[in-house]
Amino acid sequence: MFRYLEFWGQKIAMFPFFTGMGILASAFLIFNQLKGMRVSAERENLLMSAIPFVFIFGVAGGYIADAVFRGGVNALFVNPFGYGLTFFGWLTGGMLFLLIYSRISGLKYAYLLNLFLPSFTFAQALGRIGCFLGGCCYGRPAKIWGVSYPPGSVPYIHHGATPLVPIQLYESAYLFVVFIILFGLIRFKHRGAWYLILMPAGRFVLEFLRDDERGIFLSNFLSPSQWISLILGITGVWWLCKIKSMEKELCLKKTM
Amino acid sequence: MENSGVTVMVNVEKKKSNAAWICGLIGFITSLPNSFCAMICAGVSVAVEESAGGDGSGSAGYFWFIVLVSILCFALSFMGKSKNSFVTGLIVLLGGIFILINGFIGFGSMLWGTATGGLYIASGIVSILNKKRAN
Repeated sequence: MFRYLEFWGQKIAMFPFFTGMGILASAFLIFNQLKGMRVSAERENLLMSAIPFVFIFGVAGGYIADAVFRGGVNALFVNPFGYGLTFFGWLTGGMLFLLIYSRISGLKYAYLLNLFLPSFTFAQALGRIGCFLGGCCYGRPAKIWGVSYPPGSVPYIHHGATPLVPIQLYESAYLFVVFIILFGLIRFKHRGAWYLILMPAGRFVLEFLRDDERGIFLSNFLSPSQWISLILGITGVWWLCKIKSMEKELCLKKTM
Repeated sequence: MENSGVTVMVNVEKKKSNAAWICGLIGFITSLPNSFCAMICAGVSVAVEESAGGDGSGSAGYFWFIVLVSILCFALSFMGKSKNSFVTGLIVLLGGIFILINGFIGFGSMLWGTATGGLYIASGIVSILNKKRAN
């Protein structure tokens, strides 16, 4: 679609622009949550210092995942260039960093996940708009209503002027709804678990409408993102059940 | 007397500015188009070097160095309210000057190099000032 924004002789690529806006929004969301919780200055410094590293690890994870899914594990060693980013790789890299950081800083891993994960929803929603404008992660040929991509874009190379399902926009809208649910309806302690349930659930369903090259993970039956969505969804359900049972135990102890 | 000591500590923490990480974050975002432009410049420089008989690795290496400097400034700008904010601020300040100069000499875009470099410089200065406020 509109891959670049041009002004004053400068060209801004839409995908990195919206990704940047997403990172900005995420950082402010995390900061806002900390202000609301009135954490100590030392803890605030510890948590704010983690933000850039979560994104850096996320980018590394996203790139490695795309290289492995599309080129195989050998691609990392033989020819590691020319790949893109996958969100689930990004998420895995970020979660891995938070696990390491929880060990170093002494902060609880669950606390870090509850703080960081829901903020990613907004960033992901903006990123998907960037995907739509950039012409990546496109959908299948549409039967009822679709969007045609301009000549020179990747979807045009594969499908010509055929209208395609604007799956990126559907996912973006779904993620905005998830964001509202997480921050409007769900308590802080449950947000991480609900994120791991809601976000992959939508992604699993919407993946059936995608038509771009996504690589292979485990088998061809489902796309790599669908396999990972299943794993994350099960993890989220397990985590939520664990929290609920711990809360029940605490409640029982208080009444005794 | 004990109460006034606690009050002073709270006031110092409140005086530390958040502008360090905000400028660093926006600087990093503006560096994304700059990296894109620098990548194009590195591509052109690599082509020129290769046509002159070199292997082109010098320009490509320099581009990656600029990217690394930008990432380092981004990461350190978030430590602008910590105990080491003077050291981190100084590194971010120097990184910002480096990126600003590269914007002007044409490795990357002048507009984005100026924006990124300027924001990192501001972030570095705020980090250094935060340390002074604590003292």
